[in-house]
Amino acid sequence: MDSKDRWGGLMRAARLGDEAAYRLLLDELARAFRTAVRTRLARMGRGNADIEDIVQESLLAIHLKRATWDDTRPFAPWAQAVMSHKLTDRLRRGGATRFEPIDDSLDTLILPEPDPDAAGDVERILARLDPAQRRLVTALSLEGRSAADVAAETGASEGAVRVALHRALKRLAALYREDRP
Amino acid sequence: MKTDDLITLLARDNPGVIVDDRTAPMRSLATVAAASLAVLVVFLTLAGPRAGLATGAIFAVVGLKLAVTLAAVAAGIVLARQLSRPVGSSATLLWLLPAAVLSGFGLWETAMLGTSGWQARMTGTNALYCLTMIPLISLLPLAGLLVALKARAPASPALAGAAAGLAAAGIGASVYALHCTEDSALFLAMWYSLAAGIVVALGALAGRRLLAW
Repeated sequence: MDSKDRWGGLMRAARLGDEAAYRLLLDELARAFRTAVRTRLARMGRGNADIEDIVQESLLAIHLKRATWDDTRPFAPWAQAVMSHKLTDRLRRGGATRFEPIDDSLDTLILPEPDPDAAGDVERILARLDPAQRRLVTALSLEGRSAADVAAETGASEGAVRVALHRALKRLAALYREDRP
Repeated sequence: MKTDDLITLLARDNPGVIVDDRTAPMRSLATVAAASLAVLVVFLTLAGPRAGLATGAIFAVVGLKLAVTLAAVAAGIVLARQLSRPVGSSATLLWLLPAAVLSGFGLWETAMLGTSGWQARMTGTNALYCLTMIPLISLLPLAGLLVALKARAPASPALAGAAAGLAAAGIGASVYALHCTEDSALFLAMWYSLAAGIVVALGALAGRRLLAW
């Protein structure tokens, strides 16, 4: 079985609610995107600074649009197209000012490796979420707490926490789109 | 936030089972059909159908006009569906389908009436009304199509919006054709096309803003 069918299988499982399969898929996508984005940016003579932001924005788009993937078609080309869309979008938003021309092909060799731990623009974007959303996002990701835990603390139902998280993610994607570096 | 943290966050946003979106196109079509029916009823109530719509000669020529406008509806809907995905190709030639049907209509008209007086047929007598009403009638169907596309992930939001504009213009023109008494293919080529162009441009502009994802 090739990786395309594998990813498709993982996404099918994820859409049925399998969280472990979804995590695995997102991990593998993040790695594949990181390599692909680095290659594309290098070919355009751009630095590595944007890579992790583009990876994160692509994962967010995959997540929010996953219901529109037609599972009778292979998943990999769809995911690739979503990443490509985000990459193009970001380059257009970034404009020419961030263009870093290289006059020597050696430059591509000494570019630093992309850093998966890089925070990038997302901190700036998180800062623009409203306080309640930022608090929720931080609790569920950085602090690694469960939705039930957050629900107990805030007195909201677990369902309400889930709805709030989904709204926060949509808002995050919208803020990314509006962001002009 | 690191990518790993984002992945944790995304995995947590788990609504249980996500129903496959394959029924979405049918639901969208139903919405657009409802919007079309609404504008049809409102427009024909306010402006009224043309006299003798159901009688022989008029029925035939209205049928010819509808062949052109419904070709735009079909082409626009198929294109919008193809362009609603981040990946894949669209049948570019479909953009020309309405013009192709209109050319056939024009040839038939030339064979019937010859070329004398073509200027008068093209200019018509109520061009400005046509140019106003077709875009106006198209607005509601256009909104319905854009809402349907909003749930998708079009590679080019502007192009997908333009396709929605073509379909909406076709719907608007079909409704208007039941009232309009200009029966020349030349009038359609000049004024209906211009009106459709306005709606397509509107769709592209709206698409660029509203369908970005």
